[in-house]
Amino acid sequence: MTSSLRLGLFNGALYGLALAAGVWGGQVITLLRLPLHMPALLFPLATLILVGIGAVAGGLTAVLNRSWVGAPIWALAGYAMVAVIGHTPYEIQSWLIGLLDPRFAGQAIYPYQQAAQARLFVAGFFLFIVLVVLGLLQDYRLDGILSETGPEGRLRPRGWFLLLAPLPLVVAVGSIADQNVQRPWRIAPAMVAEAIRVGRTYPGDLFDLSRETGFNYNAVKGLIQAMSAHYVLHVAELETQAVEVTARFDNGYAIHCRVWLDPAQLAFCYPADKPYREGLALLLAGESPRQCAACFVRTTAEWETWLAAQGQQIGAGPRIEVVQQWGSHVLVRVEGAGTLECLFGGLNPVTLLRCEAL
Amino acid sequence: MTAEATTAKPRPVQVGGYALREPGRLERFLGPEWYRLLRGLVTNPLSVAGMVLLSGFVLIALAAPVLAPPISPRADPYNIPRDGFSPEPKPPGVEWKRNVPPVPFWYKTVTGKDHWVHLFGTASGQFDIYYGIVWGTRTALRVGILVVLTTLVIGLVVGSLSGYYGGFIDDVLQRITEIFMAFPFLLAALTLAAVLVPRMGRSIWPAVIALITFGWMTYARVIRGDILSVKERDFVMAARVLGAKDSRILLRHVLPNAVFSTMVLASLDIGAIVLSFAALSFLGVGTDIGYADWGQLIAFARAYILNLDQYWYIVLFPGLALLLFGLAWNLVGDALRDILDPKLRGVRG
Repeated sequence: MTSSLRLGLFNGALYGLALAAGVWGGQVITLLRLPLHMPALLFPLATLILVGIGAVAGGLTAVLNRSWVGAPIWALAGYAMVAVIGHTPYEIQSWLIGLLDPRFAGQAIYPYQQAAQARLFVAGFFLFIVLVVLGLLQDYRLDGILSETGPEGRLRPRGWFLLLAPLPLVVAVGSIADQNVQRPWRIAPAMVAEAIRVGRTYPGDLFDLSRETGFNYNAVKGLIQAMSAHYVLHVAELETQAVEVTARFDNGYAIHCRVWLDPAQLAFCYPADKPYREGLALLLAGESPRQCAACFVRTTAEWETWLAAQGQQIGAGPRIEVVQQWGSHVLVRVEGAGTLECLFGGLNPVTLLRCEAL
Repeated sequence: MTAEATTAKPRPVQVGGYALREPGRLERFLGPEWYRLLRGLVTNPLSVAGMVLLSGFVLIALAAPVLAPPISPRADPYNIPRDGFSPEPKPPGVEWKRNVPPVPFWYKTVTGKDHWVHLFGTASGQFDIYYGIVWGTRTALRVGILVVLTTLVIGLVVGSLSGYYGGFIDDVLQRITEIFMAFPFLLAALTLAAVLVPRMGRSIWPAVIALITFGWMTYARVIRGDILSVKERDFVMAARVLGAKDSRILLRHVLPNAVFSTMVLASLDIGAIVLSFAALSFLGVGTDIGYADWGQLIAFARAYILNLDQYWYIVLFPGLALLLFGLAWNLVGDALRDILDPKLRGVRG
């Protein structure tokens, strides 16, 4: 491998790394401070993909050794990188969840949003321009960097400076993507965590506090008594203008909170598990949950019949518990004389996807 | 050779009876052209005035959380707090009653009051004008610099490739440039922003992208013309004869000697871009209602445009901010043009 190719690969990989830092760096720092379920699940894989794309583009530009060739190569790389950035929170995350937890395999945990496409356009617009320019400059820059190598082939400090100089620009462009693509994933859990933190400890009236601060702490007012100190947050569902977040407390209680995105505001919160516990209990008892607004579960007549039959075998008063949640997909276990596992998906309404007797 | 001889300072070289000036460290670091540019900027009274104004805007932008604190740390600071919903503006000095921000440390010393008043009055819908102007400075700087830098980069890339390579590449790139130039700038930007807003939502981005899309062509044309002239010079030929690559010739020899007039244009354009952004906001295709943006503050005055004798403050303060911002960049741009104009070379600095 020639030193020019090696440097091209390294330079491209650095662009990928800088871009990943810009796109997901701030996100990781914010999410790690929150009690979020698997906060950094995506980032190592997505970073590896970006580094790989960057290395291939950088290496190819170095091999072809023509300055103008760098522009189309990096334009293609930019397109691929934008696609990765845009699809990572949706399809790639869903696929990864299926890989980690086979019980959720094949489910569209986070279906791709058309609104995300528009947000991605903004991110891609600037990224594309910067990468094309850097692609055009690569040949010239790497020549300069190669001339700054010592007798053992090691880079001198000036060479390192030249190599690292464009990275702040790439990080900055990545942060535009962060503001546009990642923002809903970040602000919604942060707002719910803030509401729970203040709601559990504030001695005064949350309604007055909401009026004073402009932040709707009042959304959790009626739910505070049931909350315990420790909880885990899940981003349950993303819509164009809103995000649903679930908070699961260690005492078994759970709430859903709806957060508006523009302007960012916590809208309301409500108990989360009624469809999974009370709705499923009704189905097992052979009753329809259609009359119960808070515990309504959409299902088919076949599942209703099957569950009613299973309910008779399991017996009265079975133990129903939520085993796992990914997005809005919730796996529930029913234990009595027999054991069942049911997978629910969606929030409005909650839909029974499948059940199986264990 | 003695030690004294080796450490002695060389005598200045005499050319035609004049002693050649010894370049200083800064001049050696920057190179003669960039040094002359920097020296001209700090010695030209117009550019100094422009830079003082600009520094003021930068300071306001940096100190925005102190000058106009957001109503809560969790609130989006770019949303102008509103003191109710009444459509009728309130004059400066009226007490702030609802959504009152925390009082900053400087406030009592400067105003002598314990509670917030609307320093510049409120716009229609009770948006605080002072808050909007302070946080709008950030929006103006962000939009101006982002749009101009991006259009400059696009223009430089297109113009450089077009001028340096010529032939087929030049034909294709120039026809593309002409297609974009065929659209009237503001009308085209307005149309594109209006198309983007329903897809992307209301934010600064639709207007920024629209301004970039229709704003790069002049730079491409100007840099192309300069490159066509510079690339025929002897030093470029010498570099080619020595076997330098195209990228090295273009980036090391041609572009640095051709880029100055484009830079002057860019510096003049920042003020103009902020005015265009304000125009788009005024027409309703910019940011969301209540976003801190000078154009939108003026847009709030639309219904009261015939009663400005009574509601003068709703256009005066945001208009003044826009005027001074545009003036600052124009002063710096004019000074740059004076410094870089070959006819004026040697007159100053």
